[in-house]
Amino acid sequence: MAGPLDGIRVADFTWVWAGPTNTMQLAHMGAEVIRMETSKRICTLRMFPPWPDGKPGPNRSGYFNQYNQGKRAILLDLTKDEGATIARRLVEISDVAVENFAAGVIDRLGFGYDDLRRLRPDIIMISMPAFGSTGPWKDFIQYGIGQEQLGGIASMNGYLDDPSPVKSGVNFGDPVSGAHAAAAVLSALYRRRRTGQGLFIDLSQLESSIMTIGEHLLGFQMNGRNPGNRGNRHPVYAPHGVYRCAGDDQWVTIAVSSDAEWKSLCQGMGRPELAADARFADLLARRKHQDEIDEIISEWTQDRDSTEVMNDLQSRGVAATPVLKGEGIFNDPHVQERGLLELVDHPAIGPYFMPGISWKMSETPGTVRWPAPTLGEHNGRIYGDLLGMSETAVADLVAEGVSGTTPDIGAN
Amino acid sequence: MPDRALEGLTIVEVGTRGAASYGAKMLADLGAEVIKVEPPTGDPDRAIGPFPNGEAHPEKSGTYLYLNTNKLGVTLDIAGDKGREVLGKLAAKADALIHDYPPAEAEAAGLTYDAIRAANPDIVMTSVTPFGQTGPQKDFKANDLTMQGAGGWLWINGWPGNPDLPPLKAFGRQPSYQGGLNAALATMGALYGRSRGGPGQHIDISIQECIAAILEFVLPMWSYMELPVVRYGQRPIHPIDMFQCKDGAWIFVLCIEEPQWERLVELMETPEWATWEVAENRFVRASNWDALRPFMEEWVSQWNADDLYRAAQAKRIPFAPVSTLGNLLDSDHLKARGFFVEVAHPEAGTLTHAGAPYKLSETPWEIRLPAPTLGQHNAEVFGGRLGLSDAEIESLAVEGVA
Repeated sequence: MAGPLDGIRVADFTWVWAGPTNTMQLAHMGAEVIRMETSKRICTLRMFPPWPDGKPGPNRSGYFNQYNQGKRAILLDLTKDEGATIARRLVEISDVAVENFAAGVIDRLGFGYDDLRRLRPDIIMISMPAFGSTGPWKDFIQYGIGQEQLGGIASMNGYLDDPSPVKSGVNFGDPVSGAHAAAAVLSALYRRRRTGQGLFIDLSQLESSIMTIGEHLLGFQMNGRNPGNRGNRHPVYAPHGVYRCAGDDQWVTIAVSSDAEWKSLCQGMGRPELAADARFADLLARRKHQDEIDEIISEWTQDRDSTEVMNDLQSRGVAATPVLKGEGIFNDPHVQERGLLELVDHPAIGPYFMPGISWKMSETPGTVRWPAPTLGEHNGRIYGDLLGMSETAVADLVAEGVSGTTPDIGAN
Repeated sequence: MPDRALEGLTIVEVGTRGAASYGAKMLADLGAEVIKVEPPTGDPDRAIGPFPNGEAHPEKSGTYLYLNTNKLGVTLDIAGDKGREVLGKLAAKADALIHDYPPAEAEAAGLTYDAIRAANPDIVMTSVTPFGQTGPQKDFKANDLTMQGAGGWLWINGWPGNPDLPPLKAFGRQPSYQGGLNAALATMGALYGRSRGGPGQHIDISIQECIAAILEFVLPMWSYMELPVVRYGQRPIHPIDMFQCKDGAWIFVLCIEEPQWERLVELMETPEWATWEVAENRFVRASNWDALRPFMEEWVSQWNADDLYRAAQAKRIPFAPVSTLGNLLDSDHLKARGFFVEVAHPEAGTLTHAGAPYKLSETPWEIRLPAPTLGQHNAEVFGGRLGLSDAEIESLAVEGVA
């Protein structure tokens, strides 16, 4: 059965990560997403590793290839008159336009909401700049990598009793923005069914990140202070932490949230007497003696395999998981059975497993329909089939530098 | 009355762990009518702080107050027949139902797709759980720490340069928010499809997969090159670091493009160390960052954070303050954007909330209602919407069903 967005077209002006994670969700739901790229300024993500055999190339990046699955791509220079004309034609036949340039750029290019609305009155347009499209900081520069810091998260993220802020290993500000954006676009599409109207969505990456700590803004007003760095501990429950296991840099997470679970953990560790120990008898006591408990748990886990610890404790109703590496995700039996990783055969580099879709719809399952596009891969399809341009007209575009020839995507 | 984007949409939410609650909040804030069903003892999030003075109180939980704006709240014991009957009536009048009970618990509570579909064949039902509806771990216990571990995120977080320190969880309940985001967007996708003649359906979301799908290049790195991305490795480019300023505040020092570094060198008035060969480009600087870092740290320590932030941005260098919660609430930028809204709650008082991170031009979001007190809308929903009589509603209460 066709996906929910079958027949919907998206004019995709996005680049790097935040914008593409938004349009990726739309592609997975069946929309035709058309990326407009220029070879004069190749999308940053196309230049990022990993590359098979360590050999770089704009069509070889695993980073780009994961987040742009199921989209189309054309080469188009928007700054040239003819390029802008073609982009306007695409907007006329699109339902949604998405961009994540710095605030003001899209307007200077001539593709702001007022411009697009003249071309297609019911267009739904979303802009996703770092600080939003308005406000005293709108002309400041920032990327997804800076959102945890700006958004208050980094000020509370650090090891216990160490005041230094620690950045997450993933720039999660980007996908947090992308997911909020997709939800907003889909809501606007839903509204359009009811009213026939489009609208403009002004999304701020900074505000999207702040949403993930909204409860702490309230806490600050209640108590007048930032929570101090608490490492892997929990504000309420104990024990709660990350414990070393056997092997190189292997760890397990364990989180106990009731007296009953504490008893079960003690039994699992072969230390049932600890359940009766006054030092650990209730939550308050366990919080007070958390250092001691953590040592006891570490002694138990340090010679054990993290997956065994998980299975043992889960069988007793205690939350525990191994701290999986990328390789561990690939080999995890649960992940494999559910099929997150799909084999995607890419024209430039061949078949590799890639994460697919983070939701499963029972009647209209999303799939990775095709691999991420190579540079200019769909020039023929879009210029020719969709826009009805002749081969001569397309050749002229290439000659004038408005478009480009598809770079050689052979076995290299 | 302003038009609301999701006007006319009715959603039932049975959320107990944050993910379903946040997903439903997003749709409520965009104008959907959301009826939140809690057990008579209340959503477990009511026991999660922050609390005023650290004193737990079910109507004053910062987590509950934030996640449940714009919702009507009812209490219902759905483990028993009577409660399930009422839930069925709610589902019959809803477009979607969002919940977060893992499969075994859902089965025990009658929250299966089969049961809900029997009440409403066209419903879109979204189940967002730690490990999804299928697979050997589907009923495993989990919380935000364990989900970060299972999702592949935790292993790459932590202090770079020190492999003896354990991996460090990202602050807050990030996996629950990822689950909520996916619940909201997938539910709206399916509802949009349904509005065009598509079917009702069951949406199965595994929070583990939500996390695994956003790990930047970690999974492709393994797939393409069989290389792990390690937390204590060297960054590919520098400067990307955080330092403490004169006033004690921290700042994020960042240069992505070489011209940004060149402008930073100008701002620093071309100190000698910045002219050394080991500082000549972003890759070489990364290889030598241990040696260069102290110089950067010393220079930053001469500035107050806000002054340095503005001086850098004036030269288009992408520095960022490490904002505290107080900084956010004081921010001229966020206030000018109308990001914050005051919400008055009958027991918790008036608090300033983060609003929504997007502004829809025709349908501005608004926080119309604070989070509901326990069972606040029982009469309005059971009576007004389901047509139960006062006597019937009272007997629900007497029997402990509501």
